[in-house]
Amino acid sequence: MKLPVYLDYSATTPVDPRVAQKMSECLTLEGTFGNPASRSHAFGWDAEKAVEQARAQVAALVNADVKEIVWTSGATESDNLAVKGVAHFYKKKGRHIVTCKTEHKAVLDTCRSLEREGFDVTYLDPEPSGLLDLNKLDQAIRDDTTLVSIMHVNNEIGVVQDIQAIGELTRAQGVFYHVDAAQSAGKMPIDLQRLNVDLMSFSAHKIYGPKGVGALYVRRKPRVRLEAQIHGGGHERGMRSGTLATHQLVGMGEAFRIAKEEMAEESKRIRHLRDRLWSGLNEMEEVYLNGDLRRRVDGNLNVSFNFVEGESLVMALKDIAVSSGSACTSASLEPSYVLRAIGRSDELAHSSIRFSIGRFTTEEEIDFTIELVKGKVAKLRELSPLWEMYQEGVDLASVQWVAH
Amino acid sequence: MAYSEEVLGHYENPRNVGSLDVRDESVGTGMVGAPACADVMRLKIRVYDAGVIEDARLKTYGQQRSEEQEG
Repeated sequence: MKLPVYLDYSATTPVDPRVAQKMSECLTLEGTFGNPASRSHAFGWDAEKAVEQARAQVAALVNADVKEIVWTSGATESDNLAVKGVAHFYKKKGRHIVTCKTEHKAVLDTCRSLEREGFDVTYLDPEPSGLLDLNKLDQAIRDDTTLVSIMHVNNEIGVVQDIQAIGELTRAQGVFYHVDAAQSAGKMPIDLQRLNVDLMSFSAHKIYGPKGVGALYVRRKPRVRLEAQIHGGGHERGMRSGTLATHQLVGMGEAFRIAKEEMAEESKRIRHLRDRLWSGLNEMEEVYLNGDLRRRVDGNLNVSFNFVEGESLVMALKDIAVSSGSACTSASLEPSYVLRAIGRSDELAHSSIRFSIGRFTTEEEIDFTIELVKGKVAKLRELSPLWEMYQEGVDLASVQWVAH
Repeated sequence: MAYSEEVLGHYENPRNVGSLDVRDESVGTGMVGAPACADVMRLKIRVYDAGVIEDARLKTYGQQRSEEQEG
């Protein structure tokens, strides 16, 4: 077993060697290096063929039509194009958007930007499970609402929203529905012929494809129209200009092809590892699972270890690669906005660790992780005044803390 | 963020960590910070009549990161 063990598959995944092979065939003089937009020679024609095959592979994973897939630089750009594109195109119809407080920043920050342009945005609170109450969503939609943006799988806590039910609701209300599916595509089945979803964002690097490439699904029937956000040579039917990155797109296509073929088997294996990890960690005292366990993507486990601060735990766990909801990367000391939105106390949010399991995770690595975490949590609790107070029966909520 | 050798050294080999008996009249306790801000430190000292600190023990939750963040 090689250390450190990678358990941060929700952040990114290594490129599958089969994908890397396909990509390497689209770079050099001997390969398919041409500009797919070149109409006058075989280099261009070959590149176009490769890109269109990749488009078909992406469409096939989610049962969409090839003409409904628009290439982008990643899920962040897809989210920007979907939300701003619809908001701008339909602004005469209305200027109201509905989303949720636990969305990815690519959606939330895009909405903030629209607010500065004069749009009105409703940010719904999720339930403590992390799931959205559909009645609240129904009530939030107004006459001037044009778009609802609710993600499929949450990147931090892995909970799965009911996009089928949300789609039925938005379709009945006559508003468009955008789904950020960066964390779900290739991990659970998505059938866009059966879903009333109008726009869906995808990323390649979350499912063993390369970074820097993604796609946006834009429904044709009933038709969704977008105002382009990047202007230029009119690529992607005017929705997103810029020379197509053949090697990136071919990599994404191959990653999506593999996912379609192997998802069912892989999902079972990853779920088994996740459940094994949870039952091991759950043997400890004062351990809390963040987000619903049943409606959850297979590879995600988000756990709070009470009385231990997440960043010190990450430091102690240097033999595994995980992320913490306590990570104070910005100037503020605020913990994860997602954990706060589901009602977790600041203390528990600061004590959280996200483990995310993927294609190359082994049972040996999971067993190693369980023992490592148990030992380090016990060690840090020995150093923790909060743990000592808890064991002495002090109610920490009744203490008058002196923040500084 | 990479931690310095010195920080890692203290982490791997903590010094003066622990508790002193609060029922002992010579022991005093001070605590700063708040769990919500992810930093709490408790310091206990033992002082006899001469006014000299004879012993000290600390426990902490989280890290003192404020300075690093400002930097």
